Amino acid sequence: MTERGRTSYGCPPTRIAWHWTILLAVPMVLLTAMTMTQGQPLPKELRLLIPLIVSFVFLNAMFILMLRSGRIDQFRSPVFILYALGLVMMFIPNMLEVRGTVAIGAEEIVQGKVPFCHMVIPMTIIPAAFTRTIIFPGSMLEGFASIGTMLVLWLVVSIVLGRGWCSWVCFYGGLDEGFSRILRTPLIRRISPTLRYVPFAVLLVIVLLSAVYLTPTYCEWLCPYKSVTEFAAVTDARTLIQTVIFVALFVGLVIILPILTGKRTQCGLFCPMGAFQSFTNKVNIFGIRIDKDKCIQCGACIKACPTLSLDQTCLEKGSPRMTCSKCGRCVDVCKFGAVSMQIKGTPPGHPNLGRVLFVYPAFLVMAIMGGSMIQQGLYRIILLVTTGSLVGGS
Amino acid sequence: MKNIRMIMAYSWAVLAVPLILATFLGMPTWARFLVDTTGLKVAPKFSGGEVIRTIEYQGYSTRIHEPSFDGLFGPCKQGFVQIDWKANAGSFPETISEMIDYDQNGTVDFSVVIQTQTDQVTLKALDSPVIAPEPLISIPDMKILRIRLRNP
Repeated sequence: MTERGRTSYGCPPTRIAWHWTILLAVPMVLLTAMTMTQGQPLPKELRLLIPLIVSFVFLNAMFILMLRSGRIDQFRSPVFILYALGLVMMFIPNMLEVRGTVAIGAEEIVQGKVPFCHMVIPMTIIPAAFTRTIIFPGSMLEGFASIGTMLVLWLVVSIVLGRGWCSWVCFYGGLDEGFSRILRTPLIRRISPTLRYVPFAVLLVIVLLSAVYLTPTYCEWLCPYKSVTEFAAVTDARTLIQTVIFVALFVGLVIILPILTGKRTQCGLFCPMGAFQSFTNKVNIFGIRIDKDKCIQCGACIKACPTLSLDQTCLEKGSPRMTCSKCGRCVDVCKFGAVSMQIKGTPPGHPNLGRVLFVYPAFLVMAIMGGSMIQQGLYRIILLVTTGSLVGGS
Repeated sequence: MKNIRMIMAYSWAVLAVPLILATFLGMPTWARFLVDTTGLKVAPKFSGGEVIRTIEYQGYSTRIHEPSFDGLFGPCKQGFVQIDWKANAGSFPETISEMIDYDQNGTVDFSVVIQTQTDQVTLKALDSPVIAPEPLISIPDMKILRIRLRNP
C-alpha cells in the first residue's frame, strides 16, 4: 500500500501509492459532491456555480494530496484557514441581510435568534445539570445553528476526534492559525510553559461565573471572535467595555501574538473551549504516537507544535500532552518518521493505516462544515466584485 | 486479549466515518431526540419562560409568561415576569392599557399603559413584589415588556 518517499526535511518516509490514493479518494469525492450540492441540480447562475465547483475541486485536491503525500497538516491547514475566512465572509453579510446589523439587540435575544456556538458548551453544562436549561439566547431546534444541532455535532465529533475538533472543525481556529503562518521565522521563540495552563484557568473561572450568574460569561466578556461575527449592540458603558475587550483580545491573541510567535495563541493559551475539549482526548481512539526508537530528540516537533502540546517529557513518554489538537504538524515535520497518527490499542508499525483512518472522518467533517463556508465566502467575494456589495444577490 | 483489543480499536476507528455521516444525514432527528430525552429548554432569562395565559383582544393579544426567579440551586430573591403583546392585523391601537394578574391569584398585580407610537411605558405597581419595568422591546407586530419582581 505504501512506497518509499523522499527523506528530505519535512517529508515522512512513506506515502500511499497512486492507485490506492484514487481508490480511497473516490468515496470522499462522492460524499463532498453530495453534501455540497445537497442533492440538488447544479445552479445555473455562474455566481453560484463557480464557488461550488472551485470549493469542491479545492477540497478534494487537498484530500488527495493529503492521502498521497503522507502529510497531514500541509493540506489540512489551507482548508482550515479558508474555512474560517469563509465563515467571516459568509456570516457578516448574512446577518446584514437578515437583521440589518451584525449587532445583537434585545429583540434577537428575546426571540431566541442568536446562532449557537460551540464556545458556549462548557458554560452550559452546570446550569443544564441543575436547572435543565441552556443559558443561551438561541433556539433549541429551529433556525440557523440551533442549540440541539450544535450539541449533537459536538458530542459526536468529540467522540470521534477528541480535541481534533480544534484543528479540523472549529470555525474560528483557522483565523489564528492563518496569522501564525505569516512569518516563516517567529520573532518570539520562547513562551513560558506555565502559560499552557491559562486556558484551564479561564475555563474554571468562566464555568463558575456562568453557573453563578446563569449567563454565558465568556461570550459576554471575553470572546475575541465576537469582533468578526456578532456582538451586543453598543448601547451603554457596559456594552462599550465589552466591545473594547473583544477587539483588544482579537487583535492581541488572534492577530499579533500568532504572527510574532508562530503559535495558535488564542487556541493554545486562552481558549476555554480548547481546554475543555482536551479532556475528550482521554476518551478518544486517535492520538499521536512518538516512536522512541526512531526519535533522535531533534526537537523539530516541539518547535512546530502550534498549541505547545509537545515538550521534552512528551518525547520521552512517547505521546503529546492532552492538549494536542491533532493538526498533524508534528507528523509532517519529523523527517525520521518517529511521529505518527495512531489508533490507541493497536501495535506500532502501520503509520499510514492510523493516518488514513483518522484523516478520513476528520476531513469529512471539515469538508461538510468548511465546504459550505468556503463556497459561501467565495460567493460573497464574487458578489462584491460583480455588484460592489457583499449583501444582496440570490 | 491483545488481539481483541486491536480488533475493537480498528473497528471503532473504521466506524468513525459512518458515525459522522449518520450524524449529518440525520441531524434534525438526533437534535430532536437529544432535546426530547434531556428535556432541555432555553433558560427563561433569555426565552422569557413558558406562556401561562393568553388573553385575546380586538386587534391584539396579550401573553403572560410564567414568572421566573431562576437560580442555580433554587429560586432567587429577584426575578421577572414577561408580558408580550402581539398585534393580530399588523398594527396596535394607539394605547394599550391593561391590568395584569401574573400569578393568577385573582388580585391585579400591576397596571401597564403603553403608548404604541412612542413605546412609552407607564407601570403602576399594585402589589408589593413588583419592582420596576425593564425597557420595552419593540419588534414588528410585537411589544415585549419584562417587569422585575421580588420573590414573595
